[in-house]
Amino acid sequence: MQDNITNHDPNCEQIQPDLAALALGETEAAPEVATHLRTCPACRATLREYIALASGLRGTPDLIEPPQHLRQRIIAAVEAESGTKAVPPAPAPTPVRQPRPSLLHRPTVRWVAAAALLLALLLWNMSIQRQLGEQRELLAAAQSQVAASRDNWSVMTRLLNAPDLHWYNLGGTTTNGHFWLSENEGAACLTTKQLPPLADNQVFQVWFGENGSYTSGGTFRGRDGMGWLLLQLKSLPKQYDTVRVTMEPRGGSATPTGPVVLEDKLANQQRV
Amino acid sequence: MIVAVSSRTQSHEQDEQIVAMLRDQPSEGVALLYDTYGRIVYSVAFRVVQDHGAAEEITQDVIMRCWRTIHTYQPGRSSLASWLLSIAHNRAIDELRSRRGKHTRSEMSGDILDVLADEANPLDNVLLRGTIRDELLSLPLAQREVVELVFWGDLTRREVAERLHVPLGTVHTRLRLGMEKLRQTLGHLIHNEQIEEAE
Repeated sequence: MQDNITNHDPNCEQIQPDLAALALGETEAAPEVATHLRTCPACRATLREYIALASGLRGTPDLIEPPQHLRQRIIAAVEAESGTKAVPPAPAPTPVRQPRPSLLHRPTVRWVAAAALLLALLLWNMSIQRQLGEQRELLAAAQSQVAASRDNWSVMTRLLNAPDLHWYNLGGTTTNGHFWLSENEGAACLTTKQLPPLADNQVFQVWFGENGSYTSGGTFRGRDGMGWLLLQLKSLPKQYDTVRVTMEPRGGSATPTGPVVLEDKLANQQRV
Repeated sequence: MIVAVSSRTQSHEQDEQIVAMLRDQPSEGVALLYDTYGRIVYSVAFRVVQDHGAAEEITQDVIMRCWRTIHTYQPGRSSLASWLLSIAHNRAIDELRSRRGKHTRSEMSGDILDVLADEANPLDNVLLRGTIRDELLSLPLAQREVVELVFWGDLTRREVAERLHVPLGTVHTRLRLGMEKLRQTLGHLIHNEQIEEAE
């Protein structure tokens, strides 16, 4: 805190309310205040502290629960905006050649043209139906993925806000991460970074071990060298003191077989 | 290896997670951002505009803006909460000014104030919420009222004087005393933030 404000200086004394009002957002300060601030380090320091205080005041209102629909509305807006960007532009329409009018006047040609048109319509309809079916499957898969992601993040949010949250730093040669755990929530999460690249037919597999015996916690693929896996405590072994991550064939292995990318001990006595 | 982790580190770790998610998986990142800070953002917006519909719009704008401009967020400069609430407060004040036919805040900011605002280390308003709120509530009512009318109500001191039917000089005195008392009781927090920033 600055205690060196020159109280005997009438200018400093006089502009204290201006400094407070400026920090709180009143922008209609007199020009002489700006002039004084340019030449007075003590008042600039005071104003900086008032601005810091004002930033703290933003956290003080009574907490009000927003309406339940707001969360979904915001997420839908984000999905629409990010989804729109990902949609490829529609292909340019194929130009249709117009038949020569003179031929259409001939009855045989007219029948052949009508049959060809019917066949084309039939094929087009089948193609549309097939595309619609594929789109429905993709949409169902995407909806299922979004629903799963929401569930995961709901668990993750509860986990991160749990009063009994404990976590462990995991250090490897290159890869490192954290293991988060809440007994109350019955959930844990492993987050990793600086993972090595995976082949298409590989996954990272998480193991929990003690005395050389390992139990799988699940697999993940990661992205851009980072990855995470959400776990239910009830699915983990009762005793373990080590977390290990290995590279395994897609689908995972019964026991660790691939290269170890991360391994670290957990100190049980500090796990409350 | 286990490291004792403070609530501040916990908050930083959580912010890192949110930022990474916002960049890589927008929907999930925004869901986590909203679940973590949506309530306080909504509360700040409502505190200013006093209108649930407008508070919803502002909250959506703030969360979307945070997602769109996450590349400009500087973790070393402030916590994600401070950044978010700063956007929320300014957006809500602009809404209020728009309703009153006033200029938006950015148009009125003086150059020296902008420079000082950049230099000031914002207090982590979510982590320190309880402490700051306690000190604010411990101010004499007359002083707190003036501080809040300027900060949340976006009133000038002259407008506060008219609203409270007191002389302008009285408003000046209450404002100075209130802010000075907050500075004395919370000054150590400001300096702790500065020390951590330097480290």
